[in-house]
Amino acid sequence: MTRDPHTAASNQPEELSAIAAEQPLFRSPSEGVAGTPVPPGSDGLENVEGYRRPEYDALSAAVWTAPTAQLPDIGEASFGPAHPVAETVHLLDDRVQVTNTAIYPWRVHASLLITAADNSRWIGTAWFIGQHTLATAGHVVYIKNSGVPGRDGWVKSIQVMPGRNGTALPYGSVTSTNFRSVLGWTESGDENYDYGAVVIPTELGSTTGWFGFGAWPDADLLKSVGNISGYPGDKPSGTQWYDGRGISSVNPLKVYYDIDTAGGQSGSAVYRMVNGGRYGIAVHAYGGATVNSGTRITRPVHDNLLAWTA
Amino acid sequence: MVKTPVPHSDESARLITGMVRDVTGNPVPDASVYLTGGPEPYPDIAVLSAADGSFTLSVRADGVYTVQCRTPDGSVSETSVTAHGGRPAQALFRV
Repeated sequence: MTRDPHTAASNQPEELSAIAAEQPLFRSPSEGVAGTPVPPGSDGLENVEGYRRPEYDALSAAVWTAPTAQLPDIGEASFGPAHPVAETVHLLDDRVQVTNTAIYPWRVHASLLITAADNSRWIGTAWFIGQHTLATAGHVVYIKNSGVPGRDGWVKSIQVMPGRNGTALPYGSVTSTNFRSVLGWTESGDENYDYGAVVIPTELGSTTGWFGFGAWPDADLLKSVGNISGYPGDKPSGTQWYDGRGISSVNPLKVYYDIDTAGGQSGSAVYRMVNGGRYGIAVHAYGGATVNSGTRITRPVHDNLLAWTA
Repeated sequence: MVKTPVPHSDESARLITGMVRDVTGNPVPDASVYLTGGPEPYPDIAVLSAADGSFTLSVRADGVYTVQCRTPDGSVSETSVTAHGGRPAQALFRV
């Protein structure tokens, strides 16, 4: 591949310099047409019936100071070190079901039925970022290193169901065979570049509306509350579930959070509220030991997502 | 934009294969199967069991994984398997 001779050079990782040097870079959301949008909550979370933010998550840094000593679990005194186990739902499950999925912002999230190259079927989540484009995880649109003959590569098709609520499809269903990702995922299988997009053959996003998305400095993200709504496989088929927590940590390429998720929520937006608008800051992709993680929207990610909305 | 060729499968993946069957032994199609625990972060995606109840998941690291299954009628089952290079780990659900 011929490189553009105008590509900037630096001795810093591209993402580091992009975040450190730039002002916030973002694309604005749209609330779509029809229906009365649900306004965001006052604390950076969504207003969802039955949802309560855990008390420990709401404590300010001045009040909540975690112990810093590295102490083993008391269980090791009797049983030796435990095998580390990564889990996607941590401690109590705080997720609540969203049932008014036909209105904004919930209709931005789409349930996905994915058919891979070997005809295996999967479930995932995506979110509108434009009239005909939904952002999702790279591994939703391109399977890498599966070890299964015939499975790797671009998936065959994805059935996109925005605002799905069980068997109800308020915006119908559209099938896509048009996908995007980046070489960092498709060639290298690097989890730091696990993001992509689904392009649909209609302008349905004009109706549903879409989330904004942007790249913000570390300090902005670390004081943010993250929100995730998606379609987990551990709940009744096709139901949408929401959770929100403060962002735990970030690195130049990923965002970490203790927001409960389950298999099927790969591709969900990790989003924050900014001046009453909803902005994706990461694409949820992985379950982890004590936190889950997503691919951070940095300048290059923003630029690719924006290009894919065209 | 580069159009990427279809790659070959990577033999370093560890496979978790299995079946979802009901209490009478009949296969259960369209059950969602997903990981809920493992030794390292894993993709938060779920596979649907095929018409014969079978499924295959892939992981990248050796270790103990918790695999959960939810059938269309709401039955949930969970099991632990040990994945390693070589033969696939087996996860059998009877729901």
